[in-house]
Amino acid sequence: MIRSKREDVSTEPGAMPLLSTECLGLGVGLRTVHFAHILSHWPAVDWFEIISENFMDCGGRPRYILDQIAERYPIVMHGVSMSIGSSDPLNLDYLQKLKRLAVETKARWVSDHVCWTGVASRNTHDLLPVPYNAESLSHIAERVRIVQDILERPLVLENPSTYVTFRDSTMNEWEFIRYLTEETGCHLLLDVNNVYVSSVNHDFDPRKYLDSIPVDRVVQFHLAGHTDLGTHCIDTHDGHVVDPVWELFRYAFERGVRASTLLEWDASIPEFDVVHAEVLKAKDYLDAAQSHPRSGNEDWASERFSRRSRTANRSPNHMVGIPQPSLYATAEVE
Amino acid sequence: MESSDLHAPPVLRTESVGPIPGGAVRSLSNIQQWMQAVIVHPDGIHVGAKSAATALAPGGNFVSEVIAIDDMILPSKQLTSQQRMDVYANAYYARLLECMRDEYPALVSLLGEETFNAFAFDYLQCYPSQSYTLADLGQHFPAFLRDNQASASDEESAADSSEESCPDEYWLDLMTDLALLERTYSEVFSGPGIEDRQTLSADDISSIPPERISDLKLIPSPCVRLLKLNTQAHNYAIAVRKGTASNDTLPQKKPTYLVITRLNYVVRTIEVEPQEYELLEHLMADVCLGEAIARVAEISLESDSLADEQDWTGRISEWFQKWATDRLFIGIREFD
Repeated sequence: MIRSKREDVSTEPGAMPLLSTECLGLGVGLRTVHFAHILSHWPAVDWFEIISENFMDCGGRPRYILDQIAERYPIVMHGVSMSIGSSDPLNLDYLQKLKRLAVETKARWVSDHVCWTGVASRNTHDLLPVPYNAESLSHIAERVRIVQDILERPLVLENPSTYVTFRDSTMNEWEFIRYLTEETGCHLLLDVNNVYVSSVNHDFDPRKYLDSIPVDRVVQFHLAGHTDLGTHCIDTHDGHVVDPVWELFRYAFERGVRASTLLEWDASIPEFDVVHAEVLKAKDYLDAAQSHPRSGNEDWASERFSRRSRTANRSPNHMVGIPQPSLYATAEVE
Repeated sequence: MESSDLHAPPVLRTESVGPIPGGAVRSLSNIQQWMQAVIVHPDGIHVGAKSAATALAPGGNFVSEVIAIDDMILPSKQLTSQQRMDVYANAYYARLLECMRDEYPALVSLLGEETFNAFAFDYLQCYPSQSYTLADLGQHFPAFLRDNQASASDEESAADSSEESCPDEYWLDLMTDLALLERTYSEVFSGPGIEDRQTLSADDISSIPPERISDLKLIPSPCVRLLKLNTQAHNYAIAVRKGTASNDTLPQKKPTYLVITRLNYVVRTIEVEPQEYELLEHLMADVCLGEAIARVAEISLESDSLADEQDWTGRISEWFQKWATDRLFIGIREFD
């Protein structure tokens, strides 16, 4: 049932505990190629985000290293297989393993995406969009409540990058996500790169998206690089964050969003210091936003215009990169 | 469609963003069944859209008529509906094939990326992922290749019964050996291990009184796997991982007996003698220590006229020492 008024789960009798919304600072996604560097240097990164599915069933080296890292840094869990929007039943075994890992790593929160990954027991391992309409909203809201009951904590949901618009949608993605937070009390992981990618793919003004996001529900930002093919963008996580995405990040901050910030880099991954330096750029944008707050449309039009200068000269569906997630831990053999 | 008032209570609109042919909004389940059928179809989205209804209608629950991509997906300013769906279709195979290549690097090196992709593409039609983790994606690949090898050999034999064996037998053996080996590497790497456990020492084993040997079983370490191969595929697999492999010197065809285990979180490959392998096989199959030794000794002493019982006892003793060093067993238990 769609309620017209937001009910914060924390105010209801017997409600689940409030999510700790402490700002963790600037973190990076933990990737296996950086294990050796992290273990030998213990870099001054504020926190790490892990891909939940890479550790849930792992009894080997990745899990051993995670346990060491979790002793020294705050950990946040980010999943890609909850499939909260699927019409298939929820996978209770998966959810129990997720919960166990969250307890064992003392994860600050657990996130996944507003998407589905497969039906009929199949997993496409992609973050597929749902039609944004009342049925989807009701369906996902009910499942979010179930997941939150199982995990015994609020769920954090991320806006995905999307590439299609269903004729069956009756509202925008930003409206859908706002209603979902109001319905369920879930929190948000605001991926400003995904907002940008989708804004190009669906021809909307990304600021309008950010204007609609409930500021007080956002606990985390995602930043990442993408591939701009001219006709559309693909969320490839394979490079630096582009200026328009940084500007969106700054815009969200100016709107009042205060959240832990994380950089994702999943393909063509450079050395750890390069990844870390990229997320540290966020400080400049936050400092600038605080010392020189902007209003109105200044700068934005020129940023949008400059997108074209970075556009790759490729045919529309030439595969230049794989949209995330693409995650596999390769065995170490001697 | 724009959000007009940020602070208004949710009043859900019911009109769709674009006209839906036929009128009514389709169910979430129908849309998802349709989209999945379209993007995973091996012949592309156009064939996928045509086959979606055929494939799903018998269940009664799903789409009951062909839905054109245009009728489900709106175009953007830059892309047609079909081009937009192609993003997902391309990504589906690109992502899964990349994961398969990551798990089977030696097989990719042997076959070349194009041929490997063709095998993996066919594999994905037979074994689409049904797991929340990509770690399970390649689990049936060795069996898939073995079964394909068997049917290929059958066809070859039927075509030319005068040939004693299929001319590509070596390649097929090497291929299936590598697949089995690389999958085992993945499972051992990620599975339970012995890093934080005590394992059986040589003293533990040697201190067993002879009269109790027949009543005891050895408990194998959870990361130990035994592999019997037709080729020395492990040399090639390891060379590929070290970046030293060459397809000019492929591994020898030779019955090969391997123990795969994990020490300090790194997967180890240990080549063993046939009798040693056989003894390990019995012990891993929960056969009592005394009986396992007796079975292997009987066959070995029969087949090797030069061997005497004293030599045999010495060899077993050496094996136990080696197994203790390699930490292959975690304990001893009484026969129940």
